[in-house]
Amino acid sequence: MQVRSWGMRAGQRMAHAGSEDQELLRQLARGNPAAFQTCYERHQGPIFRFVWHMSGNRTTAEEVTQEVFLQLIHKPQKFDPAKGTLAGYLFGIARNVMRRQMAMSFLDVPLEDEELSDDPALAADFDMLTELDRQERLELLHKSVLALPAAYREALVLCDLEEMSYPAAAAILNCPEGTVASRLHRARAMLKSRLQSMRCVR
Amino acid sequence: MNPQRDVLSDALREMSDASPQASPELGASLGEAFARHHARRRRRNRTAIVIGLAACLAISVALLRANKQTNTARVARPISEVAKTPSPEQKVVVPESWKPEPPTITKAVAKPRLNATKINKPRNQGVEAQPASEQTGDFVALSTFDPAVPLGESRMVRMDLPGSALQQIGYPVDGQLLDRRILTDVLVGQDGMPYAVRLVQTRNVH
Repeated sequence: MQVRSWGMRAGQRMAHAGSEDQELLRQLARGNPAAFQTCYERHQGPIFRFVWHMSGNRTTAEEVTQEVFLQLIHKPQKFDPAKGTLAGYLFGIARNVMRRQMAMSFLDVPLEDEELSDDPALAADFDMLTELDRQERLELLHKSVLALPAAYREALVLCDLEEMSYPAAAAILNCPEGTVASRLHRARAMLKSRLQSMRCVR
Repeated sequence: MNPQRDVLSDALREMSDASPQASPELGASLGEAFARHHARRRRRNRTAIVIGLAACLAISVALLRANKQTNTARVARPISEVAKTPSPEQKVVVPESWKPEPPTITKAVAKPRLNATKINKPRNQGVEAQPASEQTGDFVALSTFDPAVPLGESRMVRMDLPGSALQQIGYPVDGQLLDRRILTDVLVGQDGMPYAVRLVQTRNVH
């Protein structure tokens, strides 16, 4: 498995969450800079990536990440461990802030939501995807992910990119696990269709 | 497992791994914001503590002043009441053997005793010749009192003193009583210094 230089994925992070995060937050509320640094290093990566994949804009991602951590600095007592993990709480803030920001911009204009076909021809293999140049492939994928409708994109980013479990994603998205599963399934199908239409797949 | 999905999942994972990171400046600015926020919070807390202490101090001073005024008012009450309620720390224990009976002195102050009657009962000014019963309170120690000197070698002198004289020897007297004469038992030590004072109230007996 490829190891990230800036930390674990959100799914892995949430698996380790719990009393450790509570203690960290307690220290943070007391004004311990080391606790804040640890907390930032743990959570900024997943938050930043989530916003970046959702908005496709680095500046937005930085602004939202900053806003998330500023809220944590100013009101750490708002986090209730009984309601979920710290990562989930931070993702929730990021989602709300991002929604506000994107409502004011034109960044979140999904491409036309094409009617998906069950045509077996569309279930082609992804050989082309593997054959493409890495950089091209990543750009293509990124554009395709951005083209997904926001609700599907969220599910895909949380479950496939951040490797969160369905319950964790459902807690962040405020919806049942079944909804997350169906959105994810649909997001994958749409992504596949998009890639095919862009002739990345045969 | 579906190999197509595997390829897609791998590609997505690869994309996730290749995602950009937040700039180090963001971390630094957030660190500064954290430090600023908590410095402000600490300043606020310190200010609140200082204000709280100042409020406590002000309340204490106000209470002390009120207490002082109450004490002054107590002196301003009739002498008999003052004599009955000396402050506990000023009480002097006088030995039982010690009797306030120096006849010459008592005689000497017999006349002024009537003056004390005048203070308590101004309406009875004309009944000087009537016999009087006396009531005394506890002795109140003066600043000259030395606990090391045995009281047994001291003596008591009954005197009719003006309020101002009582005040001079350290007995708290209200300003209104400074001109009046007050019948007083003075406990005089071996060295001739007044150690304690008690006020004598006299009542006419019909």
